[in-house]
Amino acid sequence: MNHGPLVFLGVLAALATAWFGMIVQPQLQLGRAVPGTNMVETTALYPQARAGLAQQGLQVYRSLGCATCHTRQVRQDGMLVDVLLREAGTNTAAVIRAITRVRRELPDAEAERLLERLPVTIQRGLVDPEAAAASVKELTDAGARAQVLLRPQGPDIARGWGRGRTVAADFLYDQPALPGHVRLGPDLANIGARLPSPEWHYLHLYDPQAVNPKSVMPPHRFLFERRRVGAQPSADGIVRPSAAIGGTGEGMEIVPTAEARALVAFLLSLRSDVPLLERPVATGDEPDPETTDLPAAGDQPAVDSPAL
Amino acid sequence: MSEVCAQDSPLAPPPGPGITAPDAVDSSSRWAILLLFWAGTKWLVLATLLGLLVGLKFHTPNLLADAAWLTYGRLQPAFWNVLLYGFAWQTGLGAALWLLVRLGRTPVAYPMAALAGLGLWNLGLVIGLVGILSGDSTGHPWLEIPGYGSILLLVAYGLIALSALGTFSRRQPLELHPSQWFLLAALFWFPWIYSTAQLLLVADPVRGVFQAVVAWWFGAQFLWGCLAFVGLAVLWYLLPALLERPLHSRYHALFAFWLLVLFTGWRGIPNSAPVPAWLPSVSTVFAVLCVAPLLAVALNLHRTVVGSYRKVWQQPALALAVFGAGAYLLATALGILQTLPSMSRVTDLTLFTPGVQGLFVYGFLGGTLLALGRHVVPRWLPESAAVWPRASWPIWVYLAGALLHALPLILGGWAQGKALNDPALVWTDAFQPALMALRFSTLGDLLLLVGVSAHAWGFGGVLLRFVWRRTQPVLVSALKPEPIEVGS
Repeated sequence: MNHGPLVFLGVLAALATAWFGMIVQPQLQLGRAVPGTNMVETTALYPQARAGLAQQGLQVYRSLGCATCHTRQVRQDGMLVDVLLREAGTNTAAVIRAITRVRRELPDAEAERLLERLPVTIQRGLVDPEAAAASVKELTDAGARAQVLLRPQGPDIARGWGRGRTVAADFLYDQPALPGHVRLGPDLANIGARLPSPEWHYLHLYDPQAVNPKSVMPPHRFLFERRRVGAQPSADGIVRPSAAIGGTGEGMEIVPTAEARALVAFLLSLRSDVPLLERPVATGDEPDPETTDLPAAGDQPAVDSPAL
Repeated sequence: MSEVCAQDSPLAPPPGPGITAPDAVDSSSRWAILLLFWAGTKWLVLATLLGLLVGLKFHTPNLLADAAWLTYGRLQPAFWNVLLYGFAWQTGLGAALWLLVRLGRTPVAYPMAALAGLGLWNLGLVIGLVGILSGDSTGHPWLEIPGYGSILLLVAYGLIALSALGTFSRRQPLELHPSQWFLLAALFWFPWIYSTAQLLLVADPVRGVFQAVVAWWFGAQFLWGCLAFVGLAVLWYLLPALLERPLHSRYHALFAFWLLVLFTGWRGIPNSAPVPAWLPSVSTVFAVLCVAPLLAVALNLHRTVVGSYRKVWQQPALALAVFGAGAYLLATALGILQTLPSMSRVTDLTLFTPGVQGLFVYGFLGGTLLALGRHVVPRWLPESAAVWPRASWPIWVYLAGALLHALPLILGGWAQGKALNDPALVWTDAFQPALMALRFSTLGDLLLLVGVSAHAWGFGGVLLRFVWRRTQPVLVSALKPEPIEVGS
């Protein structure tokens, strides 16, 4: 029997269905995304197009295959919730009663002492955001100012690679969008916030082992120009002649090329710490770790999350 | 089942009158297929060489670091693209043509189209390779070849596929062998996914992270769809042919076929992807569903070979094919396991994935396609029959290399994932297991290069000898001065 047409039509139908599911449907959902639809802070628009030099830097990033080793995907396992008391208000007695209602095991005297070091974390590491919201309501009803603190969890976040997970919006203006696929170097999702110094990046690109002897990153000396110092050392003769990078010789300096400048501008533009509905993270309005009983790291500061 | 199988199997009775005899079929189709195999072999040598260079960079980061075109970020995509499009898919197309000729008992249709496609494909690859090394890469994994190269590949593929589908439609027995089902699907699958990816990533790029979704989807379709189907088609034919016994069950093969066709199209989006959660979830569900066809394939392959496993020591081609089958089962099982959230939390973004892919391409595709080459070429080039069986050591070196390339990456990837999930470790410490794995894997790359070079040397030698024998009389008569007949 001739099964040729059956095979052809069957394969066609199966592929077409999968194609609609995995290509057309995501295009309808993701391909039409626009900036600013998911803002937590309504004053700022996110995402925004990168500045011109950083856009050129993305092309250097693509051309040199940086994404072959570096991801831009901070992963998040979940979220813990704290309850933070900012101000006690005028009715201290009511607030103390509220605190002891929220934390039943706490004696009144302890609760009173908490009020002496505001802002203070009343509850820490709650799994259920509803419970935290109920506590905040209890405290607020007593006349205090309290808020919920969201702390995204996960090894990537604990390592300091980002404040929260990477989301689709982070790539909206990237052409091409290169989230990477394997980690042979650290994640770069938030590198602009983690290492904001251009000098550091120039030296690291020129000689990674000078910055970190254990690094396996190949040096990118071809992004730099070695030349004689003019009347004055060039303003961005960034890589300082030093023994650590093999010495550059008398009267020589190493200057980044236009490509290196663009690449570093792009790296510095990589920040994915803007709070969004799908990534509720800190807004920078963080409590002083000294005055709270948050863990000393204090990496995950407060956010007034409208999601709750 | 065995009745139908026997009819389609290479053991089938000799074709009756009116049907082209296999030898005539083979000889008329020689060139297009031989040259596809030979071109694939050359790219395989280049790929293993590039792979070795890429691996050596983890021993000394300063190696070849002074030229932009030799930097790791360009060499690695160059290596992988050459391996995929130069070796795996090109040799796979040669294998497809050969199987369609053999099972259809008909010569290659439009051989000139196939030859033109072959030339254009290799031109596109050279241009693409130069493009990647000079910095024109698209940046998307597995699709780095710039648009001016990939358009050539697409046209070239069209020409080769025209010849393949023509051959298919001119087949003499209407009844289809399982290999033909798998080949037909693979031949349709490739243009669909490749043109989708080119259109949405290069010609008219879509916005934002959806680009990455397209690239992930393409990679999974190419690997678990096109390439896997060609490799399985080779196995369905080759194992019975080498063992001189029928395929265990035609129906197991067809069961696996339909389920794979239904499920594979949805695979590809990793759990770590920064996309709406339903995408990786759908991919995970369909990957897990692929367990059923995997079991059917495993059962079928095992039952076909069982009782003859010892023969692999005498028959190098069988060793390659059986190794390929094992590599398929292991790589596919790991690829499915890796989509489970509890696994992907460790293995995503680690060397585990390149390890599985290395096992798939070097172990499964390398094993089956090289085995088919060793089966086919001696039939056509009698000169090689005397040369190849004696030189079986390249095969053992190759197989050892494939294992040593992939296994350290898979195990090291697991250790890397565990270390990455421990935030107490700083990056350079967390990377140590991966670095060890990469350095071990370089030994595999070295063995692969040796095995593949020796194989290519043997292949090239018999090819040259063949060409020499054919052209020698012509050349000699051309060079000899015509005897001048005096006095006529």
